Amino acid sequence: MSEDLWGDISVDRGIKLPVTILKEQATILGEKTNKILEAKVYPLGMSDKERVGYYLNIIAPALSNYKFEVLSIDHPALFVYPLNLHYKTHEGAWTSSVCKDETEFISKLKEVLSSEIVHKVIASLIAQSKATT
Amino acid sequence: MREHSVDVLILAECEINDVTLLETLNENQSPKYGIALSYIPNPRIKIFTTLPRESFRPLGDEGNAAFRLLRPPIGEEIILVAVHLSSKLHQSDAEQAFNATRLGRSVREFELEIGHTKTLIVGDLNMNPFEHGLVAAETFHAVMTKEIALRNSRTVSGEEKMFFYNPMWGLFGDNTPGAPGTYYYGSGNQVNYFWNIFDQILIRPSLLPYFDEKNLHILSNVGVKSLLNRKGSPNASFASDHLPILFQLSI
Repeated sequence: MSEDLWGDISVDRGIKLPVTILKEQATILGEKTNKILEAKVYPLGMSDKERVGYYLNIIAPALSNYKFEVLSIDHPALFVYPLNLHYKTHEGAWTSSVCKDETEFISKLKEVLSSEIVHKVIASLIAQSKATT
Repeated sequence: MREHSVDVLILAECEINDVTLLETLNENQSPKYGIALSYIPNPRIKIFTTLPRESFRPLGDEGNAAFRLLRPPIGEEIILVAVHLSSKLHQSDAEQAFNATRLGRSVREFELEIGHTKTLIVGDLNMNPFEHGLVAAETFHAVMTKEIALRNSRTVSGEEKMFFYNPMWGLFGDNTPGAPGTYYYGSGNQVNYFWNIFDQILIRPSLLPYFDEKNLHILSNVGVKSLLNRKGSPNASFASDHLPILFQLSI
């Protein structure tokens, strides 16, 4: 029998791509709001071909599909981390955080998605969506 | 505003609260200014108008841009993109170009969604008209002459890229009335333009029949009050470190 030169490879140990994590959260928002709001993840065109990027929009179908950008990410195409997470501060300006691994990304993502500013946006869009129906 | 009978006033990074601003704008003013319809207030970009506020349908707020479908009671519908892009203090030229690429794509996506390209981009782009972030086909593809813009598009790397017309090119320097730019920055660096035009309008070819360069101005006065200091640069302590631009689109 030939010697295994591949080392330890496990199909169950693969990392979850950040875009998959974002898409899961997008699905959850639709469920949590009874589809009054949706969220979608779109690819970002990157001028640096070594990197990939995505952004997450909240969409209000009842408001003619109004879109509000919540955050965006970009990371090396091959190694995924470190990842840049871009999001809005309470003052409306954009800021960035660098996440060195998946744990840090999920922790920061939770902080952003459950932030006061994002919750205000969600509450406002739900209220305005309900008012139109 | 009264002096120029402005229908739509777009302000970037205005720290005056809306109530105070509206009280001032509406003093002895008819028709009155109101705040354009917005689902989520954008503290970086404010739009005031004498048109019915519902004339502005919010399409989206992405990055540092507010996308609105402007439907005046009479006239053509246009896609209005009000922007306040990141400053050179916080981003390199390359980062600015990258963000412009992204915004350029969003513009095209909204145009596809709405079904026309009567699009106007206006605001503080924090780049000069000649920078890659404005000129590159992958960004705004904004050219300096109507003649080129009216070719509508060109093929770059196998993809059709639509033009914007950037009339601000024509307002640099001393050969036109008004200030030589909208923003002055003096430094000890080797390359220093001194005057920059960061505040711009970009117009799609399909809107060009409604636009005349004669009605585009960099304002350096409000009534009898100058917006410039003694050295001739924008007086930040009186108004702003940027000079406003005024234009007419006869839709």
